[in-house]
Amino acid sequence: MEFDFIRILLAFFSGYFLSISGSLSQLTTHNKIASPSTLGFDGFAVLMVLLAQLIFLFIHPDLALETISFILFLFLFLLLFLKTKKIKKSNHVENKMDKVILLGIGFNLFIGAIFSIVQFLFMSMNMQFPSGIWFGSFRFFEQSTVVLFFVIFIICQLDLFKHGKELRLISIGIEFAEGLGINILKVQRRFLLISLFLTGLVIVYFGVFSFLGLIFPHLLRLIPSFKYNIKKEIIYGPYITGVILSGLDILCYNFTFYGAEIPVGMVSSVLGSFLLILLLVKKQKTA
Amino acid sequence: MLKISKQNIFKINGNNVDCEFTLMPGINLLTGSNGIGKTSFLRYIKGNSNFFGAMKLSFMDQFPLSPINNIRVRDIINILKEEIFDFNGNLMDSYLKDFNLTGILDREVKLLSGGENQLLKFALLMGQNADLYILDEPLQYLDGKNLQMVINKIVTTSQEKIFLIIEHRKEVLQEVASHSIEMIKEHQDISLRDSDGI
Repeated sequence: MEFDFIRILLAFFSGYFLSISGSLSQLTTHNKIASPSTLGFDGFAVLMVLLAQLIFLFIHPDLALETISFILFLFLFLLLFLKTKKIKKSNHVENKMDKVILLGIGFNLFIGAIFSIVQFLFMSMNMQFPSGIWFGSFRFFEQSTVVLFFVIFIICQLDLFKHGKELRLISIGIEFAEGLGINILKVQRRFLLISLFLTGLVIVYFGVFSFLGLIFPHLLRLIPSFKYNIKKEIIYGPYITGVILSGLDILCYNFTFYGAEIPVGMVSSVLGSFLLILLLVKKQKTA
Repeated sequence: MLKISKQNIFKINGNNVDCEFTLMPGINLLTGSNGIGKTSFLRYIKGNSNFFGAMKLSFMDQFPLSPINNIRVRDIINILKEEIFDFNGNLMDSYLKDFNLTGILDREVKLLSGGENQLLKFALLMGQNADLYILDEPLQYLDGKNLQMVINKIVTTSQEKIFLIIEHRKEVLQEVASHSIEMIKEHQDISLRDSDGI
């Protein structure tokens, strides 16, 4: 087997970020099927990559596609950050979650349709299209990306240690935590924005790993010592999922299909969408 | 005794809410017709913790405890003991013992019955150190011995602390309440006033 240390690190950080992103989405909305994929965060980031691709096509900037995507994503993220500051109290999202999830899935489907149209236009004009966006893969990584991912990894760790209390109390129940003096709207805004940022970061650099943010927290809760402890899921769990994604990537890298590397994102999409169906069926039965 | 006098503090279903009432020591019942906005009023207080001045508040809402993961009763207790610095674990333990809930510590919260969930919520509330306890339908899901036990606990604690309670079965608390506040809708205004009788 062959290994590339930088690639392994990037896969690790990506698995780490997606897991945190999923856990934060589920915790702050108090909904087990909330995830970056079901909340529309994936679509948001893919839209930025598509816009970056168009800029790349017409302006020919002296920057890599990922860098333009990241700048665009940062710009829109900041806009969203400022815009959500004005959200009124009492508008916290738990009670509207089913609608938000439907909207998120709808938005992702819409972006998927736009993606197909853009892909068709590129192909009809005999131009190269970065189809790698759709199924995430670490095949075309840049070594310098590891620095950015490492810095964000450290910030993330510090932030989670600092705000672990709020997350633990919210895990008991949103209304309950609110009664303990937690500013729910502030916490939801903060952690949903972090979730969006981490998902977007992975997508603009490596493409879509659909439903990993949904699967990872559920996988972690299968481990006995994590099952009853949300703190462990948030603080230590992402290390495990980082290792899982790195392991999957090593397998994809070494076991090619007729010479072609299978994108890790493709594997995660199949597994993740299957799990989503299982969860929805289980939720229906419980209801 | 605390006099509250606030106009147009917020809106419920487009209606302005005015407050002109007194919070008395002991048990204060908040009454009003169904759907008038009593729970919305409590939610407003939750988000505006200085509504009653410097008083430290503790809330018990009407929704059952429903954690996101499969945590057990024991885990919730540990979270509160570890994260709330003045949480009185011993007091809460005594409540659990009195409610005969010590046998459910290892049970997942989602598997508790409605009554057990309600008793647990009440015990967790009483473990919190507060000057004013605000309870939204604390007696729902309870009957017989458990109902009387919770009323007794409220009465005992109300010797030192203040309670503001919404309870639809108000006849069960009428005898022990020291004061009643009524929520009334007149035209486009909702007001909270001291009630003549309990």
